[in-house]
Amino acid sequence: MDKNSNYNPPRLALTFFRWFCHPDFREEIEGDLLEQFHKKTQKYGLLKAKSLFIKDVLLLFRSNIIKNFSHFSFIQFTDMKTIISLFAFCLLTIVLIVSPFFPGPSNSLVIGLSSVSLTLGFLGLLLVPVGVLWVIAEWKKSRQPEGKTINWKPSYYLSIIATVIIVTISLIYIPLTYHFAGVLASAAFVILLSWLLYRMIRFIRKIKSQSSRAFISMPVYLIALPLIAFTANKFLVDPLSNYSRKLAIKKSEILIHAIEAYKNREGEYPESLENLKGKYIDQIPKSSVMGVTSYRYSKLDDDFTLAFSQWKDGASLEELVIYDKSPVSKKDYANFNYKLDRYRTLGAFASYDAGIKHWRYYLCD
Amino acid sequence: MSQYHLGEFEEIVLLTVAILNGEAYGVSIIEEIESKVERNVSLGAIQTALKRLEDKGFVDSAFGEATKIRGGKRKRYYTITGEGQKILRKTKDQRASFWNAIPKAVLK
Repeated sequence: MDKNSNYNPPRLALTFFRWFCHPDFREEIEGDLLEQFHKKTQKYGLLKAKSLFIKDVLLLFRSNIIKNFSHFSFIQFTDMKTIISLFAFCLLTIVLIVSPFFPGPSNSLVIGLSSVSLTLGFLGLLLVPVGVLWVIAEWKKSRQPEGKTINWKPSYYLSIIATVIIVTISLIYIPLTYHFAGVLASAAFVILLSWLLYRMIRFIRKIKSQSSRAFISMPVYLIALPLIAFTANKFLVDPLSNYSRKLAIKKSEILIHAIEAYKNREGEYPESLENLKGKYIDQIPKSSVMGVTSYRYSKLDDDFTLAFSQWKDGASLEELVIYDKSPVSKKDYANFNYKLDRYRTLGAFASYDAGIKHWRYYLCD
Repeated sequence: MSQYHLGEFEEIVLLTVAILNGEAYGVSIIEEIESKVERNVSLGAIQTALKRLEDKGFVDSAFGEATKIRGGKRKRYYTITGEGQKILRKTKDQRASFWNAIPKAVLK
């Protein structure tokens, strides 16, 4: 035996292989991998042998070597149907959250559904600790030996706590959804809640019947969906709202040109956008993003503003985007430099430059 | 005759198992193929083909010895079955019939 036999293959790749490879094939294939690694170390040197080992492991990641997913440690208590269903719900949550930023005409239902999903992200986080404890309780229950009495009480009480939290959150949020997003969105919320309650009550009955040691997958949803919604909100909503704001601003350029052309010709700004039609513009541009409202025009003394808004953070935060040529003044107070403008008093708690001249956006809750 | 067909790569692997005559396991099969067809073959491709051939009943397998360079892991030796021999002969005959059908003027 030469010294090369003492070299070890990349540990992470080997761990990954041991994780995904079906247990029935693991011994022989791992032996082949290690034998090849030994021979390649002699032939090509350690560095190349390691990179070839990683390549071989990656090329082994195929369906008939994995064979089935049941031996994967983190999902061994659940079945493929649950995994697909969980994946589908996570995907649906993400799609609903970002749907106000899809291209299309302004749509309050889309905003409402997005806000329902975002609620999962914030208030639903209360469910995560309950879900974790419930998963542990289910895991312990499923590992109890045959013949021993099933300890169903932890799962039972945790499922009741989860149900109470879901109902409380919903009772607070359904009227808010109705107020901000309309009847369709609140009806969708009620349907979702009814379905969720139906499922929860079924699970609670199943647990109480003590009939099965089988792992109940509901707590996995209680952990996954709020975390997915929270993560999507954290990482997707801001970049997407920046994009949709810039898109709407860009689309308004033609409108601003038409307004200025009207002023040059008529000596004053138009009373409404309708005055521009025909002579200055063929059609008033509409919102090109579902979550963005149509353009709102206001004539001031010798000035005008153009505005639109979009919802953020689950219909709890309206972003008002305004074109205004009036200068922004600055004021120092308690060593902070505030930017003051005429909209400061209209309910906005913060305002920011939109990155395009004369455009600012205001956050109103 | 088996209902299964033999893919091109499966045929090469099955032929190699027959050539190695009781000494065929993952690494030895790779080395034999690479020496004959002058192309690199991955362990993943070989293992996939071997599992398929075993599922189709063309090869049998049994654990052999463990060695130190294999980290104490046993080899799995593959041997060709009667069905495997039949499918190889059939494939050979089919190919021969194609070769025989080529007009002499085409392959000068």
